[in-house]
Amino acid sequence: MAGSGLVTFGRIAFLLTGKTRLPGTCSRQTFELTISPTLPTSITKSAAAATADMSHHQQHQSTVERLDRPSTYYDKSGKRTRDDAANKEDPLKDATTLYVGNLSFYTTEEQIHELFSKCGEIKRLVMGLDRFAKTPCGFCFVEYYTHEDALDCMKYIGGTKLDERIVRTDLDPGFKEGRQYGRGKSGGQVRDEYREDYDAGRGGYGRSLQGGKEMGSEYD
Amino acid sequence: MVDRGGRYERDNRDNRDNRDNRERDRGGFRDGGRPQHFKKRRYQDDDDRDYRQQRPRYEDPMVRLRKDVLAIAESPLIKVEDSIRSIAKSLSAHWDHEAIRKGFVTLIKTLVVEQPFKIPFVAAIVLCANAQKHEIGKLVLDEFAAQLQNYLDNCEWRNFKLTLRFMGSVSCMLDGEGVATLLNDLANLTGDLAAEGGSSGLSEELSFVVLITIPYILTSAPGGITEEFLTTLIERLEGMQVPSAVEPLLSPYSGPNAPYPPMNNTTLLLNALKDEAASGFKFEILARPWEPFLAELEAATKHFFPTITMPTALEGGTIFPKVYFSVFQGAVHETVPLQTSISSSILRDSIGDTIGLLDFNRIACARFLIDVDCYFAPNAFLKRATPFDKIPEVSEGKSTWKPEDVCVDAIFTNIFQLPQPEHKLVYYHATLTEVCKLAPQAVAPSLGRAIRYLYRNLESMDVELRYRFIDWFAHHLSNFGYTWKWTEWIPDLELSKVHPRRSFIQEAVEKEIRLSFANRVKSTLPEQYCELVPEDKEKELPDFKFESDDIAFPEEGKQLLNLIRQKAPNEEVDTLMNAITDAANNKGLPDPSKYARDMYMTCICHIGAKSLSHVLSCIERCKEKLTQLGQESSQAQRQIVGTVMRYWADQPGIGANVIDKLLNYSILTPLSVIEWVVLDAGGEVLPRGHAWEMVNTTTRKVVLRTRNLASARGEDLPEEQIATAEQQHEVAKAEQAELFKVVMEGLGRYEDGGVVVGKEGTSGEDVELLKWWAASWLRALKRQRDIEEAEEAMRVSTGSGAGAMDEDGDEDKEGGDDENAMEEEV
Repeated sequence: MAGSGLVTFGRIAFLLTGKTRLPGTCSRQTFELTISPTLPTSITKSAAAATADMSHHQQHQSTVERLDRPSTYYDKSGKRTRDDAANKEDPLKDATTLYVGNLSFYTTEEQIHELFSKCGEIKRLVMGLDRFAKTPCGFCFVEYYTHEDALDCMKYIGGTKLDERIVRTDLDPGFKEGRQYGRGKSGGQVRDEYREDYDAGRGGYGRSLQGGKEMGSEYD
Repeated sequence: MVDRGGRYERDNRDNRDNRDNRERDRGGFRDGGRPQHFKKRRYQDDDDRDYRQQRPRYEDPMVRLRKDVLAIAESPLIKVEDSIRSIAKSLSAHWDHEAIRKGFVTLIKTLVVEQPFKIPFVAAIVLCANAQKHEIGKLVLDEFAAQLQNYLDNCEWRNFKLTLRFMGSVSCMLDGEGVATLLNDLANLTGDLAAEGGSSGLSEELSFVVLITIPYILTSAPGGITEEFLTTLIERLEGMQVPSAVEPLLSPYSGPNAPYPPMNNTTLLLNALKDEAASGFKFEILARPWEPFLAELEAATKHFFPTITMPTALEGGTIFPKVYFSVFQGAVHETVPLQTSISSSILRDSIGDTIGLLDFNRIACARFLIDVDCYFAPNAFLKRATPFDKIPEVSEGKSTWKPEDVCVDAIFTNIFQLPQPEHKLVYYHATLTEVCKLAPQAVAPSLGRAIRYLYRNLESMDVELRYRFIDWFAHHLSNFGYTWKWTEWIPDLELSKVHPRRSFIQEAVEKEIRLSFANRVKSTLPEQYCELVPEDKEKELPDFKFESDDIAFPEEGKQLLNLIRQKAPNEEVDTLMNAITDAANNKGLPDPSKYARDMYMTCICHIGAKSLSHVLSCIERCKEKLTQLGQESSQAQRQIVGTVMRYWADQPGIGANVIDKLLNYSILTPLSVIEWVVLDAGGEVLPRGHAWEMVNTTTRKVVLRTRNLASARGEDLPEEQIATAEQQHEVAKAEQAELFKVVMEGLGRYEDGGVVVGKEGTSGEDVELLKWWAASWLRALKRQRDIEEAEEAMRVSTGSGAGAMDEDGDEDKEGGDDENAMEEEV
């Protein structure tokens, strides 16, 4: 019996996304496990659909606000008019990825995996890195196999604590190379530039307020 | 209450949007100091804020109505009869507007299936409005009947139950016997199903639906249904109960020390109703918001209850019997209703539905749970946050039920539901967290008592539930700074490592570390616990065993590490590994190829030790070689599992994760993982959380794959794909059967002493404990297997459902095959 091999858990494709990693830095890579089932996709879909109880009554306006709605972030950045929005298909309709924010710089992949796998098996985890130092800068992308798992994550994990910090989750249309880097002036996230409070888990005060030479100012 | 509307509206908004408000205020403050061009952009960004500030002077009556209806009974400061009267009044005043009619009916239809606590109150609104304008009652009734039919046809039992509950609660405006005919039909349907054997669990579910409706009918304003009718109904349903085959495996506790015998929820409800019938149907727990309006209601127009047709085909999978669970059972004070009382059944059902329905907003759910005392009879509960030791001071005859205990108990009931709770476990974790955040002073002591209760009963608890307990406990503490009264368990640290309580402590700490890091967790524990967090756990990287000399081939180990690290060509790696095998062969060592294999996997672990992505990229790179190594001998894959687990001996959770990924890559087969745990790792591994986790995740993956393949057979697929799916399903089924067989045999040998558990020198006591562990694993895995087999048997019999009539012969054949397969396994 051992290894009859006829049915496997599937082929696995792998993609190393952090290719621009500088040699010698202690940066994180990202992993992706794409288990493509040996079955036609419709089959796996139907199994997921069976569990996702999006029955008719939920089309009505709920009497209680839902926690699995995306924030207004994507509406804002899209700069679309109302008509456009109505015509275009919602990019988050089948989203399986989440942006996870307000992490400590010291939180590891293992910790994130431990918490977020409570909502379903994780397909890929991309640590957010400082653009220059290539060290974690307090956010990540978590990708699940199913949309349902991503929604559950919004409902059950967003707003709870990881490493003693309240994490923020938001549905995301999907990770693209380059998005793992902070977009702040000094390499980290924008919010860590001008932060006025002291946050030990995120490098103290905002970087611009820390005085002295700014990291990466030569790029300006 | 003259100024009620205005004041109320303000309060309401403040409460509901508290968080939003704060954010908005902060935003506003920030905006104030920004240059104009920024402001312009921000205006577009945060537009909803600016609109909301210009509040319309005129308020749409539907908006107002919606707000008032949704808030019904929520605030103990507002008299509920005033709310009911004012809503009914505004409803009849605006009924000519289509928007109001549609809006209201849609609203209450949703409300009933989302906030079941409010059903009696919504019913009172409708009754009261009907007394003022009979068209209201008529429309609501017609719409609800259509909805009820819809739920029935789609087998949405919970929504059906709640909508039926609403119908029962408005009995007073129903002509003649109202829902009696429907209840009778449902009882007939139940009888038919039970006569067929009731294996799908549907007959039990239906009897529960009918029975739980009875209290609501009898506590609503008097209608046409008589107590005699209901008493007969209860008796009829009692005769229809069929015991479920899987139920004995679903009980949370087993063994001689179980805190209470297994109890079935439907049976409890049935017996409690019989008791109530004997004592005149009091149902004191339920609110009767219609009482102040009784005179008006009796004079109101009654309506004909539309006919509901029974469905011809019932779909949906197995419904497992719900088994009673409580963390406060048998306490010194009765802080939750006695399980045999009708109040217990009513509360558990209603709170259970609230939790089940509101998974999309755990914060709102927690709010309802904390406010549970608002929705039942006044004085049904103790005052909130009454300390446990103050309960003896409660005067005779008054309720001693603590609302906090009742809601904590309900959440735990879900976490400890076998085989699986309705939602992912993490939902219940998060809800408990929210409840604690909302009322820390009130809930924390309840939670403390719950934890102690569970801890005391670990020795009888199902192994899967024990694992869920650990998982919840560590996750919960991680949300509250890891604070727990660890000192009270210090004496238990002296127990044997394989004792269930000692094992719980160890594994809980282990889980905490996985969510955090060793030093942090250590800092939250008393000194005595230091031993549980050895220095090795704090190490950045585990040791590379070839660094030490008391191992075979240390030099080669270091060489191989360098080769793999430097991405040397395959030939070089192969040459070195062949040399090692040859050397081992020459030395006459048994299984000479295992040295190179172990070395290779150890190197990969070490190179990837930094993080999950490191190890994954390394595995990816060496995938072919690893696959090939795994196929060298029948033991090879098991040895690879062993190598990984040995490398991560101090952090076995990470090891288990790596194994899971190797499984996904098909480098390992599920069977090899299972074999390692139950055959190679030794009995001492049974009390370990990671061992259970490995077996549980692996079997679940296998089971899920079989299920997916099974459901594929029913899909509309091209013929050749159906054939492939069919074939794959057969293979998957065989593999699954083999897997369970190996587990059963392996554990069975431990349990009956066929193989000595524990290393040499293990004390007799420990051997007994390990046997007990083996038995409890066996029970949990047998449950998984039996459920899958029963499901498969169901699929076979209903899968050909539509064609069952004309393909009788085929069906029999298929069923027969399946039986044979099962016999072979056993």
